[in-house]
Amino acid sequence: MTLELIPITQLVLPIPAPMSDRAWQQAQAYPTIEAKWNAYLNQIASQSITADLAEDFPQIRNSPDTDTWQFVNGSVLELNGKRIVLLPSKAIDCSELVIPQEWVDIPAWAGDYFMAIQIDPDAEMLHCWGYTTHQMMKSKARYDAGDRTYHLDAHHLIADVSGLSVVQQLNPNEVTQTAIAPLSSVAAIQAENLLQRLATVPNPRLEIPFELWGALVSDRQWRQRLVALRQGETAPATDLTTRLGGWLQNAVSTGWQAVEDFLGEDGELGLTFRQTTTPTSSIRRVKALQLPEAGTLLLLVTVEPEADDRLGIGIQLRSIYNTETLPADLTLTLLASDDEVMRSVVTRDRDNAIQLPRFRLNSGSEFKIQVQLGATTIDESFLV
Amino acid sequence: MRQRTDLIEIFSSFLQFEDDRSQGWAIDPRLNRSMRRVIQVEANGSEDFWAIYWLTQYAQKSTATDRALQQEIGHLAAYLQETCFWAVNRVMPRMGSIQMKLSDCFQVAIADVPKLLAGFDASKPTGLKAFANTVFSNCLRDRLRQQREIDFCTDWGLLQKISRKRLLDALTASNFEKILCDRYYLAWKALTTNYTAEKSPKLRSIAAPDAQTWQLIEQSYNRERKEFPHLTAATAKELEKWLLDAAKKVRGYLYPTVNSLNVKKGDDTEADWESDLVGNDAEPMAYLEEQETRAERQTQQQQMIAVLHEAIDKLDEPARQLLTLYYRDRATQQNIAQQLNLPQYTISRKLSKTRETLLKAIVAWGQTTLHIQPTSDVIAAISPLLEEWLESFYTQATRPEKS
Repeated sequence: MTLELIPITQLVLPIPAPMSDRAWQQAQAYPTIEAKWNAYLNQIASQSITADLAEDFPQIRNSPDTDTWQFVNGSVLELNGKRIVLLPSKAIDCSELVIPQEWVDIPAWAGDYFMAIQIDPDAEMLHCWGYTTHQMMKSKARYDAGDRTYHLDAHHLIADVSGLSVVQQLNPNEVTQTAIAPLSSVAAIQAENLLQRLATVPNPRLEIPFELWGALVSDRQWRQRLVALRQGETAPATDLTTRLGGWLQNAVSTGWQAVEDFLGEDGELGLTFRQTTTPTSSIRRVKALQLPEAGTLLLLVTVEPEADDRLGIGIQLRSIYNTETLPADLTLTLLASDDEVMRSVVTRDRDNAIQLPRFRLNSGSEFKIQVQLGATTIDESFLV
Repeated sequence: MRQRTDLIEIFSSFLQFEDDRSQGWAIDPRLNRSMRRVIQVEANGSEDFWAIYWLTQYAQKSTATDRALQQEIGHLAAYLQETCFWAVNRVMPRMGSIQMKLSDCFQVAIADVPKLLAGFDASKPTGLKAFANTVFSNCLRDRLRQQREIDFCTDWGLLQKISRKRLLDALTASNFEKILCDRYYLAWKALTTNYTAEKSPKLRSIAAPDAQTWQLIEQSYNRERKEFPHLTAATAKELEKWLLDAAKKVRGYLYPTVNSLNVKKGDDTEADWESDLVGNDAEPMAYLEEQETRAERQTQQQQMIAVLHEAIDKLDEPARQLLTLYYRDRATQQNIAQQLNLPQYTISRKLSKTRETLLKAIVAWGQTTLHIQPTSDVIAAISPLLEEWLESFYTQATRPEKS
């Protein structure tokens, strides 16, 4: 019945019970009630809206930074070089849109579009009730210094969600942003001090001036360090980059073992790479990753020398036993050194392994592999 | 409802209801005098002209408070009476059984005029009625959705499902002093940051917190209240009492005793705002320009309607059928779903997609013919017009009066 109460200019999507259950389960890994709701709502919003927009725009990209939900509501979809920031809420009223300052004033994070989304877990329904651009929002919103949010009255939003699709079809390069002032840069030592200070305060995003907070939270490594510190980790960060070139000279890297060493003579893992023939010149190593939600998973890396000082690289993530399946929504991502997502794969139902398409890189290049499940994100950095 | 034709009446009278039926027009004497005065200066102005005139007056003072803008808001609220009436009439039949009467719904919608004007882009003044039509219907739907949802909720469920703004609005509407607002707000914050659903995200019938959780809530409140020097420490028992009262205030706020622009308040003296009446600003030049742009606009509108006709003709038969059922027959989506034997979500989706095709056709036409860049601003202006055209296109034959 509630559907009748939603104008056809707005978007309504059903939330399938399994999607809701899974998102809720994953959200439980977050430490506070606020972060749990952020995780639940954003997981559902980003999955549902991506699937919906992908019908018209198959090029849409959703690569959620799940650890940002510890601190800030919102998630980003990328379409035609534009950033669409989804802002889900479980509140029953649609009288204003609340936008955390991070999505407006951090240059690397700022959205081009903001989408207002209401999620009702009881009615199992998602309702997207309007959108706006960075520019329109900046000229009309009220800034609340108390919790560093912009508040935009419902009447200032475009209450026609299909408008965004129309603009993306006819004028994908429309000017959407006003100028955003750069943030001050934070030196590594100052960052470490600030992170230590933020490790124990109840609300880190309001603890230090926004300029500093913005610089910290928008840097992936510092953000992950903060998450780790808030979970009670105290050891200082060290350089954990794995040097793949060294493997060819039989150099040892911390945490990595030869496949044979790892499983002894039980060569069951030998069957694991889906490639049928593994050239003999290649080297395979494995590292055990600990995920609180899924126990131990194995990250397998194969390197093989190629012409022109290049390496061919294969990456696979699998469960420790062949009979075990991987959890759903486990993501394996290849990132360039500037954190741009190059490839990403997600587990489907009952996968016991997932892998990235084999790629080649020049000696000296860097890349990262990210494994993400629920609130946990593990990064592995590599140097070719 | 008798359609108003007299200009002075259009900008100074309000629809009256009796036994839930519209029962003529009541003239506001102050607005009436103000209209008479400005019309003496510019006798040739059309209805559009005066709407734009008051909008311009409003926009020039837009930094002022609503109170300083009472006169402009009053004239424009009078002007939008029919628009509101028809918007409410279109929304209500789709609602099924609701507790609100037509007159209540009308008052809920018309009370949104001040915010509506603040949200309206006055640089495109001609779209005011279309924009208001959209705002009135959306505002009424939002209110009805909220009412329906809180009817499902226990007090504890309701407290979980409201926004900070909804809570504070309800408290302000109950004439709470600042200290009470702060106290209730902090109590609500302590509750929602320490207590929520566990096994599933469903919140409607969540139980009251247990004793252990109350301790957490109490500690959290007493820690946070130190930021508010005027607040003293509180016990869990007190917090519980305040929270249940807050829930009651929110329910009361969503089912209000109607108090809107159409009700005479009588709390300000006439001199209060008639002293700064600005009747001489309607210059003859402005009138001439308005005549020219109006002719141009009418041609454009006719062209756009032709584009719309063409776009509708190009739709496939099922899509056209869907539009007819929705806009002409005013069928509920549930009804359409039953008729076509499809899930309701599918109907809603198809309707949205079909409407998107029409929106795209108009915006694309503007791009090639009028060289208007298809930006989000343009969407914001065109979307309400499209809704208005679709409604009139499909109902011309069945509706005797057009707002």
